[in-house]
Amino acid sequence: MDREDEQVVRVLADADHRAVLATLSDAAGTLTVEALARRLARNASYSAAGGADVESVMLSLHHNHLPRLDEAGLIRYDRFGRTARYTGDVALENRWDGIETIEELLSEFDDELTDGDSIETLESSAEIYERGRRLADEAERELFLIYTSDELLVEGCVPHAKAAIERGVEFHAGAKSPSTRKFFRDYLPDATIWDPQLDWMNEGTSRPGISRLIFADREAVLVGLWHGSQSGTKTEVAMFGTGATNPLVVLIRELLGPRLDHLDYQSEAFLGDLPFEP
Amino acid sequence: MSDRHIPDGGSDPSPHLTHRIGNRTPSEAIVRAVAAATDTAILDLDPLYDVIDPDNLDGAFASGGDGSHLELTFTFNGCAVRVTQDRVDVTLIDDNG
Repeated sequence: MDREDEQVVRVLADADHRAVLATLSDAAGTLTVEALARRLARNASYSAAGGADVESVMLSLHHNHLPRLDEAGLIRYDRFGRTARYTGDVALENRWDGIETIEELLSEFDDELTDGDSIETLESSAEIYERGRRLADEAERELFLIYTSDELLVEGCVPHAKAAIERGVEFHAGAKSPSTRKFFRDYLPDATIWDPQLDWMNEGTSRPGISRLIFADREAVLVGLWHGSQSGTKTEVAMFGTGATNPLVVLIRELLGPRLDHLDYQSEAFLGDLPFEP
Repeated sequence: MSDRHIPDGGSDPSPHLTHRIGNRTPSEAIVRAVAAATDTAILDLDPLYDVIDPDNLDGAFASGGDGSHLELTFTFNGCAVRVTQDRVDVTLIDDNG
């Protein structure tokens, strides 16, 4: 990934920046800083919404977010007229259109890759299981998993996860469904279980959804995607990248961002909400 | 501004203001301090981002709770700004001598 791409990934990894971009894009024209601030203050996905007055939102827009997004080439900010406009750059939009187009994004990078940066595609569930097990076996410090549904969980994987935990690997498992979390809790009592709050993991889109994500030592990542067919059957494909500078690894690390480090808070809150001792 | 300590004395040849950072982020405190010192609306100032990355600045001070002394000085909208862990000092730079 070149420096410009990295800057864009960094900018987009911030939920507030995504809220600003979405608001400007919806406005389909130029907004004054004040109009933008008023809309953001009502927008639940903007972190300061409700908590901050419009003036504080304007301050952070003018002095931080808007010049930053302008520099990344995502908007035009007229700092004298104090108006902002989503540039609607078609090429950029295709490339960075939310996280849902992760596949296109990665295929785009594929063309630019050098040898150590390749992203491998795995096209069968058997291959994906095998690679996932190998990641668990080779992890040295940390394993971070997200599963979006139960159907992928098989008990055959449990010994690999258990062995990793016994080696001292920190094991974090995120699952949207309570039954998946129960599976992890039952089989892996030492794991940290949490409920992922990632909007891009949620369902409700016709585009291919993420099936699972396995991130080992923050240096190797396996991302599975569901592929639906006309007949209603779905198959799983996956991308795999390894190495601290691999574009897929960099992208996932940036997207997960601080969530990688703040899981403990989440899981405490989550565990605290349970009506029984986990 | 209630957290102003040294009023902008009219006879002072180089007006100097100190603001406690308090609950604000350092970057927000800087913008508000300079706006007050120059009697300018916050949107009429040049963006802080053009001078220093506010996220990096806030991050540096947020992680500085280990007792180490961190101090930053820079020029912003015609003011000499000095930031420490808990306060922002702003001195108007007098162009006329």
